[in-house]
Amino acid sequence: MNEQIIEHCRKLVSDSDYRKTYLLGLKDKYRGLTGYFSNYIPEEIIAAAGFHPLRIIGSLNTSGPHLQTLFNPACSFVQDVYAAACSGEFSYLDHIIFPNSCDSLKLLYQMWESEVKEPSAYTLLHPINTDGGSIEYFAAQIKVFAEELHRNSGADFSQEEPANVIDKYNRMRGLLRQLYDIRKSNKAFLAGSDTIALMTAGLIMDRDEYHQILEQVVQEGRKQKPQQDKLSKNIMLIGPLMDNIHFLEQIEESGATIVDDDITNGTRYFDRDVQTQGDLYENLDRRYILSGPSPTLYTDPETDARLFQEKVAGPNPDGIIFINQKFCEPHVHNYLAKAEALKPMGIPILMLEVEHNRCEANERELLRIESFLEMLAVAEK
Amino acid sequence: MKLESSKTILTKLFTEYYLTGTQAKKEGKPIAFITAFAPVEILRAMGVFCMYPESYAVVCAASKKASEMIHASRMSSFTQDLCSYSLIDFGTEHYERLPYGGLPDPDMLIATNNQCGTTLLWFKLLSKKKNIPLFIIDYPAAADDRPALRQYIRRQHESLVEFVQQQTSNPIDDQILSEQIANSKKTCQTWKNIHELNKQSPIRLSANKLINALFPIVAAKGTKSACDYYEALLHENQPSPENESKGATRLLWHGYPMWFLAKKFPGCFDTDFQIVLDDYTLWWDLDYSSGADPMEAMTKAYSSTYLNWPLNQKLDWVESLVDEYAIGGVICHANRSCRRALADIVPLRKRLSKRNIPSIIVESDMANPDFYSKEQVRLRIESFRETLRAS
Ligand code: SF4
Ligand code: SF4
Repeated sequence: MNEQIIEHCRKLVSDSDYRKTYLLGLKDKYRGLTGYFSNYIPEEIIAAAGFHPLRIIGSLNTSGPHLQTLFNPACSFVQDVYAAACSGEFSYLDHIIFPNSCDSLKLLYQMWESEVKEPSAYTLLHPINTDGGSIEYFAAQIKVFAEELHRNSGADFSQEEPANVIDKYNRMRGLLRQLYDIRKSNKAFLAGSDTIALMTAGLIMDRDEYHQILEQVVQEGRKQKPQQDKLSKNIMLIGPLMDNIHFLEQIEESGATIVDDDITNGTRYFDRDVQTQGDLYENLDRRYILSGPSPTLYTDPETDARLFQEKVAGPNPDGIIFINQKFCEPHVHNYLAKAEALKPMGIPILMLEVEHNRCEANERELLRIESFLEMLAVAEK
Repeated sequence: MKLESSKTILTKLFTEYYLTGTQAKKEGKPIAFITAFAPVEILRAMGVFCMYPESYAVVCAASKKASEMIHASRMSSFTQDLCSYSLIDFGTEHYERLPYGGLPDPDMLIATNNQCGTTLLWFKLLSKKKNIPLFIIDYPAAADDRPALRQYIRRQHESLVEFVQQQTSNPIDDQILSEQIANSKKTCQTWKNIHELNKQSPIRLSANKLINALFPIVAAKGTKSACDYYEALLHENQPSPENESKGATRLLWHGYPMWFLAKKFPGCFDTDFQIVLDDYTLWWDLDYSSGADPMEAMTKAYSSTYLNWPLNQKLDWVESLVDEYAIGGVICHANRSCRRALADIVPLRKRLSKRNIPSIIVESDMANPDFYSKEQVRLRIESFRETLRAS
């Protein structure tokens, strides 16, 4: 596996200075840089307006002048983003898009308007239900959003260009699915933490470059003969955004292999394509609102549980580690639902609550991970 | 005919609410658990008896049971960070000494996000645990000048009618719906007028009295009894002729009360100054004024709740209270239960400071006394007192 590629991805995810330098280098290629939160913002619309969409993933810089804090219990991810924003870390962006999502992000949006101000913020008021009326409403909202970006950028936003962009993003999602499939039969090809680094870097990187990287990695993966698995426990990762790659590495160093995930910056990002026939906005709308259920959306709990059980049955992990961001309320509820769904499958689950800007797992967390893995080993005997 | 006193009506309303719930259950009448800003008028017009778990959590907190119930909820074993109303509600399952014997089991659940996202998560869990159908209404923002948003919300209200009809087979009674809306409108107006009595000095009703008078507008809005109650309360507290006596500095309490302090709140903090108002009680003054069509009126009223407003609207509103009520200082309650309610505190303090109006932050919780440090709050208030004296 090309070490340079992985290193580049890791640094994009974990080193905010490196990320910033990289992104500033894209300014000439695009009309501007658009930051966004959540999997409900259609990146294709941003890209079709000539902007480069990039996912806000927090700073993970332990140094930096992180003086500004939000009140607890805003989640630790939002706390970190706010601190970074107040120290000007996002000032090189042209605008930032918020979702109609959790209360922590809604709190951040209002604080952004009042305290951060630059780059200017916009909320995409997507629905939280997934019935017919909500889908219809969302299509209209995406259109409003597109028009707004269009006005902002002066981009010539023809029907032609979005279709190309959609095709590009579909191919990218397809490559990510292939990568995850390759790992299912050849775990040793790429470490779980590296896979998530590669996946997350794609939310930031120039998509043309990312496309090439993915093609290269997938090709390499296809060529490689499955190698002997390490003697480790197969773990599936669940939770909200988990961009702390070093933490994931520590989990794997403790004797686990992350074989699959159900996290925001993992399979939940790429699990569906946008239809290319028919109305552009409706197609985007369906893809975004009907893809991987999120705890901030209301979907049928029975269906969610069934889909989740099917998702777990595939890799059939020895255990599941649920990593939540401290004070993330939606995912506490998500954890409860997932733990319940796992009961009939007899798969143990460990819940860890981490602070976003802490780059390392602390002793207590490592101890809990080790005991969990030991418990899995004993259960196997 | 002698008018009933507000006290008598309030006692009746309170008792009836809990008794009717139990009775309705026995008689097989449909009961819904609904969140604080759900369009209750629709449900009543379809013969559904509505109960508010948030309001019940307040009762539990005021009767000093919150802490035990939260521990009983077993949720605290892995998180203390959920809204304490929801934790109290989860605790009802495992706690025996429930006030009023607890709430009857509902037949349906209605949750909205015009106050927070917590209610959705909470009701979703409840629905799953107890296998009760849930209807969620999404109010992405105040629908004022956005026709698509208005239409989206209106449609959801119409879908609610269909949902309730499926659950109960009851059709909607348009006559009752119109009456309910008219009553809600009147209740809100009277509630506002009652608060306005405190524009004068000395104030007519203590902040605690206003807080204690909140129950009907929360749990019985739309009924004639709620209208009667507020009419009576207004009548009993006519403006006093001895206006404008110079008194202690007038303060505004911004945000949630501390329910566990019960009668002592917020008077226990009043020395040298007087808390004339807690703006939280005015969050229930919804605007039903958009036209004669009940569905249209509800679209505006329920999408435009305080916690759903854009930041500037919130700040303008609090600032207008500061002006109208001649406020000399503001105590902001940073309630750790409620992420949505935390958004305005920092910008509000900045605005106030530009006008030389002192303010402080008191960090605690509305219902969980475990997050209340009496000593810390006392010290904060003491230093605030110093600031006020100096200013
Ligand atoms: S981690 Fe949780 S609370 Fe924080 S932004 Fe994500 S979903 Fe919201
Ligand atoms: S206190 Fe806040 S979080 Fe809790 S139910 Fe009320 S609005 Fe929601």
